[in-house]
This record gives sequence, structure tokens and C-alpha cells, in this order.
Amino acid sequence: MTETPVTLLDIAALAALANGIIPADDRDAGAAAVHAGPGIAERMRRSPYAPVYVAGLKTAHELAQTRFAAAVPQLDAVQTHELLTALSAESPAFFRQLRADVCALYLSDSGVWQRIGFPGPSTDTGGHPDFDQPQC
Amino acid sequence: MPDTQPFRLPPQSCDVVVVGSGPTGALVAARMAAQGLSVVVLEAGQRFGRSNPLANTEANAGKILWSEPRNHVGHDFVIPKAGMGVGGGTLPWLGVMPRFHPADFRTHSTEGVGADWPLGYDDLRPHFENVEREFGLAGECGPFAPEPYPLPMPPHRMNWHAQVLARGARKLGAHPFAPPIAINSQEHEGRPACIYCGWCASGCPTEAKATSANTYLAKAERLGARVISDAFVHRVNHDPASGRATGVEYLDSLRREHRVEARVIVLTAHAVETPRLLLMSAGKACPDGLGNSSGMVGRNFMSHPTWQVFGTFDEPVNAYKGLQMGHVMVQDYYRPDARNDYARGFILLSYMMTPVTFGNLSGLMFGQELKDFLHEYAHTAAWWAHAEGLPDVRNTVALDPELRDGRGLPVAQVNYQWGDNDIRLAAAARDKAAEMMAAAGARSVRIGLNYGAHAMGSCRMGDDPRTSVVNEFCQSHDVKNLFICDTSVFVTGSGVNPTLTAMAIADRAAMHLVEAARKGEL
Repeated sequence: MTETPVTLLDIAALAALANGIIPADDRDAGAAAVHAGPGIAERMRRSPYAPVYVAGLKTAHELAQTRFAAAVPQLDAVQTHELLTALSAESPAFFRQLRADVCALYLSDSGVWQRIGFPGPSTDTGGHPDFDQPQC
Repeated sequence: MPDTQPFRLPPQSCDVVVVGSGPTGALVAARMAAQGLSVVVLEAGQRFGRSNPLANTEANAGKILWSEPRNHVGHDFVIPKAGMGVGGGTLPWLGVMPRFHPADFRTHSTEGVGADWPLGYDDLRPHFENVEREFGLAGECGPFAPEPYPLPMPPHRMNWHAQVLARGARKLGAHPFAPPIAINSQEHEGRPACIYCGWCASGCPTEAKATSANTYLAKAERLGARVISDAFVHRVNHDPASGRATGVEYLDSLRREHRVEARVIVLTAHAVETPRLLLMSAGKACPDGLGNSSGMVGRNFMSHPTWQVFGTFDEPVNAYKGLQMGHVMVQDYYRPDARNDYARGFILLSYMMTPVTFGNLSGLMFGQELKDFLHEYAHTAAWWAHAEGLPDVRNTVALDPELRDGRGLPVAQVNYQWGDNDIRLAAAARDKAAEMMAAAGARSVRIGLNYGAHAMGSCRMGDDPRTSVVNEFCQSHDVKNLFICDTSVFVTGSGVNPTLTAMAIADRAAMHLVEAARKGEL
């Protein structure tokens, strides 16, 4: 499979959009905590769904210019949220793929697992024998 | 046809070639091998085992889910999960296996919607029993089963998550139960009992979950069947003079071209790839695709409209402990009721998730709302509201005129739009699940993703060759030694999980093939 070229602006835009999907708060740095921008750019380079990303980023860049006269990475949190809302309507395949990839990166991190209350794989320790008991 | 001329290897030959190693392909392979026939099974994905294990990680989804490109052009996104690898769809599946009901085969006669099948529940009863026994099911048939029937293993105890859900269901007068499921509740046929680690969809790491690889396919291989992995079948060859299929062509992982000649060809590549393969097999004698004189290959594609319904509780639920799906089912609303403003019915199933799937099924929210929701993971329970989607000839699988896969082959173009009844029925299922969640004591109820589950119906069976692709024994009307034994042949989809019925239909077709072999008709 041929690789899809990804520019530095694309990587910065993906990072900004990813941080809009899962933002920083007092729990953690959100998507940035798992370096979602570069991670998704790497996936985009080799993914069969690269055309979805290429088309979606083009739309994102255009919308950012039209609405805010700025590049995607320069938008503040409120503007990024507004841009993502627009993308969910105008570029739904891209929005869904981006959301899924950001969630996958964030929710595969062992630190995030700890924070959301997931203990991780249990097969080697015999599974969950208390599965049918009241939980605490 | 690939863009570049590949390297060709000498042809192999066998009695029966099976395309796909999922539940139906493996079953047919085992039945044919048991008759002493030479069998080759071709699987597009890789083989997992000691040297290539499936550890418990969600990264496995990239290995075992069908992730090749498709082009979705319709109004609605229907992206049913399908498997890839030796074991096919049973690698990522969750194992819930209820029977269809008699009325599910006669929706047009009983409610004036959909279409009637050329076979019925009574035709499939012995084959349901075969699969339930041989595959190894645990559970209860439930209070709304088509008839009382036993299963070889006792039900799993409900996990805490299911007990919370069942509490709400009972408050509304429903009758939750532990449905039939192909995961061992005790040691069975050399495979261990489930340890409730919760990684069913990532490829069960303990083999407690029945897959085609650890049941029928293993049996087929013991009987001499040859399973070839990394074999992407892209053409069924056809001899116009005899009207018979002569074999298949496949590309291996190095893009080398192979040919397998066979007396019987059985397609079990699921309801998107099977019609894609038939359409890619067009030739001078069949310009619209092999077996497609009716024009029905790829039409009436179906899925199940579903909603994910979450409830967040003050108490911890830890829904990740246990079977991912089906510790509990509610089937009280399955039988059609003329008082409803919709036809057909629905079920509710518990669906607990490891984190990535939790995020994906949470819907389309994003930002702080999403993050807050993700951090309520341990306190959140989920119903999967699962309804019947009716067939519509406008919902199709076709060859995309422009997009090609990495082999240079046209990708499947999927065009789907839910019908009015599908939307009303699924909404009723969603609302009932939300009502039950509130009754269970959830402090907040959230509606998650609305999506199409399961792929069916793109090569419909029927008595009339003008309106269907195969007959009731899954035999092509046009090409007598070509069989389609997967959910493609479904006429309607019912409101329950389809795998058991697909396997029962394949078992019946296999018996028909065996009888034909005995008579020397192969």
C-alpha cells in the first residue's frame, strides 16, 4: 500500500481536533496525554481509510478559514468545539473515524485505564471470580 | 481482476472448495470431510495460534476484524462487524445464539411486511439441535422461546452488571433470562470453562468461547481438510459450455495467483464479500455477475437497527467483569403485537465493554461531555436494544466503480437506508431499554450509538429463480454446483442474532450436498 503524505500542518490540525474530542481537564491532558495528533497522523499515513482523513482535513482547513480566518491549530477551545460540530455534519465519515481513533488511543493507555477504573487484562490472574457479586 | 498480471502457480484440485472459514464454512467443511471428500478451505486472513497468539488486548481488533476498505454511500451508515482470520466472524463475535421463531420465516404472511422464506422453523429444527449440541451452547431457551429446548451446558450465573439490568427489567414486569451462548459455563469438549475476563471480542484468550477454528474447522482438519490462510479469493471460475463452476482463483499474501479446481464451490464469505465475489466473477456468459440472472445478487442487503443505551449508577457496576454480551436477555417484546405502531419485534441484551468499545459505542458526543462520560466507566451499565430491519431491494452491495483495494480489486460499495418501520421499531426498543435503566435506579440514562449490526440478505434464497439467487438448499439457481451458505441467503433477518440460524441453514445445505454425493450427483 502506498503511503499518504502528511504535512506538519496536518499533524498540528489533527492534534488540535483530537484535543477537542477529549480535552484536557483536572483529570489529565486528554488526547494530548497520549500524543493523539502524531499517533493519528501515523495511522493516516498507512490506513486504508487515508482518503477519509485527507478529505476531512481539507474540509476542516476550509471551515476554519471561512469561519474564523485562522488555521485549525490556532483555534481556541470554543472555536475548535464549533469546528468539530460543523465537521460532524459536513464530513461525518471523517468525524466518526477521528473520534474512534482518538478514543482508541486514549482508552488504550494504562494510565487512563487506572483513572477510569479499569484494571486491565486479567486472564493471567484467573479472570474475575467475583463477577457475580456486588461490586465495590 | 487485479491491475497487474500476477505470478501464477499450478492449480490444485479437490472435491469441495469452501471460501471462508467462519462458522458456516467450517461446518460445511467438517460435514464434507466426514464423507471422505477432499476439502480445501480458503481464508482471507491469517491463522492464529501458538506462534501468532491472540492476547487479551483491544489491539487485536485490528487483526481479527474485517478492516479492508469499503465505500459507504447510502443515507445511513451500516457497518456490520465481520471477522478476518482462520475462524472468520467467530474470532470477534460474542456468541449469543437464540433460535429464530416460526413467524420469523413468514413475515409477509403474518404481518404483510418483508417476505416469506422457502423454508420454515420445522425444516431447521434438527439442524438447530445439531449445532447447539456440537458447537456447545450454555444457557436457557427462555420463557419466549419458539418451543422448550435443552442446551448441553447450564446457564452462566449473571454477572453483577446483568443483575442490575435484570432488576430494572423485572420492575417493569419483564422476564430476563440467561440466553443461549457459545461460551463454556463448564469444561466442554476439551475446552475450559469461562473465567469471565471480559475479552470475548478480542479473540477469547482461553478458548472458552466456541469459534469455528476450535470446533468444526478443527474437526475438518482432523478428517483431512486443508485450510489455507492468507488466501483472498477474487474469482469463481465458470465454464459456460457446461454451466458449471470449475473452481476459484485467489491471491496469497505475496500477491501470487493460485487456482483451486473443485467439483463443488461453497461460498461462506458473509453478506458483503459473497456478493462482491459473485459480481467480480462476471464473464461473457454472465456479464452481470456469476449466479445473477435474477439481478438479485447484492440486493435486499439487511442489518439489524440497534441502539446502545447506557445507565450510570451511584454504585460501581464494573460491567467489564463477565461475558461481553448476553449475560441477560429480555425477549418479552419479540412477538409481534397488532397494537404496536410497528411490525415485528425486538430484544434487549446486556452488553458490557472493554474501554475502547465503550468509547466507540457511546455515540457521537465529544468534548468535556465525552470525557466525563468515559470517566464514569466503572459505574455504567448498558443494554443493547436490537431490532429487526426489514429487507428493501434498494439496500445494496455493489462493486464500486472507482475505488480499488490494495490488490487492485474493486471494493464493495454499500448503499443503505433504514425504512420507516426499522426506525420506529428500533426507537421502541431504545425507549424500553431506557425505561428499564431508570427503573433499575440509574442516576442518568444516556442514549449511545445507533448502528446496524449483522450483515444479511444480499443473495436471497427463494423458489423463484427470477427473484432469488439460491434455492432453499443454498444452491445457485444458475450454477448447480455453486452453493452460498452464509447470511447472504437470509430472506428476512428476524430480531435476534443470526449466527445459529445461518449455521442451521448451512447444516441443512450440507446434508443436501452429502445426499447428492451419495447419489453420485457431484
